[in-house]
This record gives sequence, C-alpha cells and structure tokens, in this order.
Amino acid sequence: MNYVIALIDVFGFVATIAALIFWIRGLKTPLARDVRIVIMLAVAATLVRNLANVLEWSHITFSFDPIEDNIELLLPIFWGFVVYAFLQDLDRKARADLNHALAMKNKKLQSVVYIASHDLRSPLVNIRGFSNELAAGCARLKELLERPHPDENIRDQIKVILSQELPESLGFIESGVTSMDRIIDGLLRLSRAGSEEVEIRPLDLNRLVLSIRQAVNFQIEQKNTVFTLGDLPPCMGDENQIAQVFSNLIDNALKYLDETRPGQITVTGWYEHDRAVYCVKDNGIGIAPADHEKVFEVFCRLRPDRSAPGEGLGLNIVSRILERHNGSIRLESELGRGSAFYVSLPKT
Amino acid sequence: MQAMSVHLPGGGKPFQRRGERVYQENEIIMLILSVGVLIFILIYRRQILRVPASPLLLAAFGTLVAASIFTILEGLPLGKLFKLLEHVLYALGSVLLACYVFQVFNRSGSS
Repeated sequence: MNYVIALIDVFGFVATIAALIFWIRGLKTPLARDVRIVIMLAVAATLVRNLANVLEWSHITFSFDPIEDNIELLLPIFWGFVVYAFLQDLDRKARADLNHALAMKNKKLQSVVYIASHDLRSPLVNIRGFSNELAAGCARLKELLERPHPDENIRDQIKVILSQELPESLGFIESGVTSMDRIIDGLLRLSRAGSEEVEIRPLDLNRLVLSIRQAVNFQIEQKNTVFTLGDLPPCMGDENQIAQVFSNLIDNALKYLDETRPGQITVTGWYEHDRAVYCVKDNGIGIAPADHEKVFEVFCRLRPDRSAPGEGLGLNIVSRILERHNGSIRLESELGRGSAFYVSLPKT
Repeated sequence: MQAMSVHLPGGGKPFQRRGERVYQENEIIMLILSVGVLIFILIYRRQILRVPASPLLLAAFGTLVAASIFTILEGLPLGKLFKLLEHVLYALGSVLLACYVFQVFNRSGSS
C-alpha cells in the first residue's frame, strides 16, 4: 500500500512540475498580472506540498510534516485568491466593455445632435431671413399707409407688398417651419425607437408582413409593382417594433423603385442556426457600394433632390430597433439593379 | 491532557486512538478554509462560471476540498483507505491544476 501511495505522490509531484512549466511558458500571455501571480502561488504551494509528500518516503532523517501541514493551510487560501483574482479580472473587463459601449453611444448621440442642429439651422436661417423681409414689408406698408394723400402709385405699391412680397415671405417661413417640424418629429421617433419598452414574444411574421402589405396596397398598385411574400419563419421580438422594421424596409423599397421598369419586391425568410433571417429585396435604383454603411446613419438621404419624401431616418430607426432585439441588418445592393436587406433576429 | 499518538509506517501523520481526538488542528483549519472558499464560490457561482476553463478550476478545487476531508478521516477506521484516497485526490488535483494552467495560458495566448 505504501509503495502505491508513494507512486501516487510522485505522480502528483510530476503533475505540479508540469503546471509550473506551463505557467513559465505562458508568461507572455496577455493575462492580468494579479491573476498570473495567484495562479503561480497556487502552483508553488501545491508543488511544495507534493515535494514534501514525496520526500516523506525517502530515507532522509528529517520530518517534512511541518512543511506539509503549513503548506496545506496555504492551499485553500491561494485557491481563494485565484478565484477572487479572476472575478476581479472579469469585473475589470465588464467595466471596460461597458465604458466602450458608453463611449460608442456618446459618439452616436453627438453625431445625432450635430446632424440635427445642422439640419435645423438651415430652415431656421430661412425663417429668420424671411421674417426680416416680412418686418421690412410691414414697415414699408406702414409708411405708405401713413402718407396723407395716397395716390395710384402708392396703392399699386401696397398691392404688390400685400399680394406678392408678404405672401412670398410667409410661404418661405411656413415651408421652414414644416421642415423643422418634420426634423423634430423624426428626432422624437428616433428617441422612441431607442427608449420604448420592448415586449419580446414569438411573432408570426407571415401575418405581420401581410398586414403591412395590405397597408401599402395603394402604393403597390399605383406603382404597378409585383409584391411576393414567401413563407416566413417565426422569430422572437416586439410586435410593434418589428412591424416598424418591415414597414420601413418595404416603404423604402417602394419609394426607391426604378420608374423605367416594373417594380418587384420580394420578402422571404429562413432559419440559419439559431437565427431567423429575412430578406426584403427590390429591383429599384439600388445603392452604390460606397454608401452601404452611410444609409444606416441618422438623417442620411442619398438623393435629397429626389421627390421621395422622408427625413433619412428610416434605416437608422430599423438598425436601432434591431440592436435592441439582439438582431442585425445587412445590405447587399448594386447601383441600378436593386437592393436586398437581410434582417437577422433570434428564432423562437 | 496528553493525547496518545501512533505513527503510520512510511512516515504517515500521527493520529489519536479511538475515544480520543482523531484529528490535527491544522487539518481542521484547512477544512474550514476550504469550506470558506467553497461558500465564496457558491455565492459567486454565476460569475465564476464565466471564468476561463471554470469547470477545470472548480474540479481542481473540489478535489482539494475532498482531499482535506479524507485527511481528517484518516484517523477513523478504514484509515488506510482514506489515506490512499487523500493522496489520490491530491495527485488528481495536481493533474487538474496542470491542465487548468495549460488551458488558461493557452487560451489567453490564442485570443
């Protein structure tokens, strides 16, 4: 029995020597310093304890019991330190991740504030300019009306001011106010997309997309478009928000159809591992590769001169909603040939 | 009171005869410390499961706790069996520790 135990002790000792070698070889690995040190202490304590065990069986006339006993006491302490150091390391990493996410959010927020203030400034400058025009027109009108004997010429001048100058200024002011209203409305929708409560549950995408299709039936017929709906697998998500995602994508597909050919919009879906993937594809005007990332930015309109209405928020809202659903969106598009948006969501 | 002690062949630890104390104080302290760490692990089990190669870490520590229990049980009848188990568990713990160190440093190195 004693020989068996001696053999086992030698085996344990060799194992700790191996542990020490692994530790030395791993010195350059990017582990936190405290984690590395406590692992070394645990390995060293185990090594000394096993060495004392092995030497017990030798014929050396020295009792190794005190060493073994004291080292034994240190073992659980060092193990406790190993666990604690790893927890600290995880905590540090979690904080670093959180800080990084916070910095990214801050950057996004700054970009939204910058773009919003930039976009609001332009109608504001118009409003200010035409308000001054309006004030000048009113002053001229007052001056003309205060003249004691208004002749035909003065009446003509008043007529021009009242029928042309003032309505023109008011028209520009109204247009500026409408533009600002649209931007502010868009900002509110953007804010709601990032803050609204999300109620995740299994969703029947066939029913959901069909109801969106019915809502845009008029535009589909007006644009003489063929809308094909495949069999869509269910996924997990908030019904209202996922409806908003598909509504925005289908709305965009309709908005940017190529008028020179009959429109085609196809919505299909399938499972990929633990994800449900949906594709909204059109044969519209397409997006140049250089703009593929840009289209998801806030207030991004690639063709602001075109008649398609909107503030350039649709795809940004889509990506924000998907981010909150642990989902993602990918774009494949070629200028002049159409676009395909791939939405990935957790499957049921 | 002076406790009577008997030495096991091959340099084993002293233990007391039946009816008297059958353990050494340092063994009890070690067990208490091990149980303390075990409680700490149980409290933070969720976070600890995220530690790299946590199953190996927990297995290595588990064998250490088991070995410390058998160290105390050495003083009871079937002492020889418990002594064998204690040494087997320490050796197994050492192997697991070696595997753990290898895994952790390898994984960190590759990431």
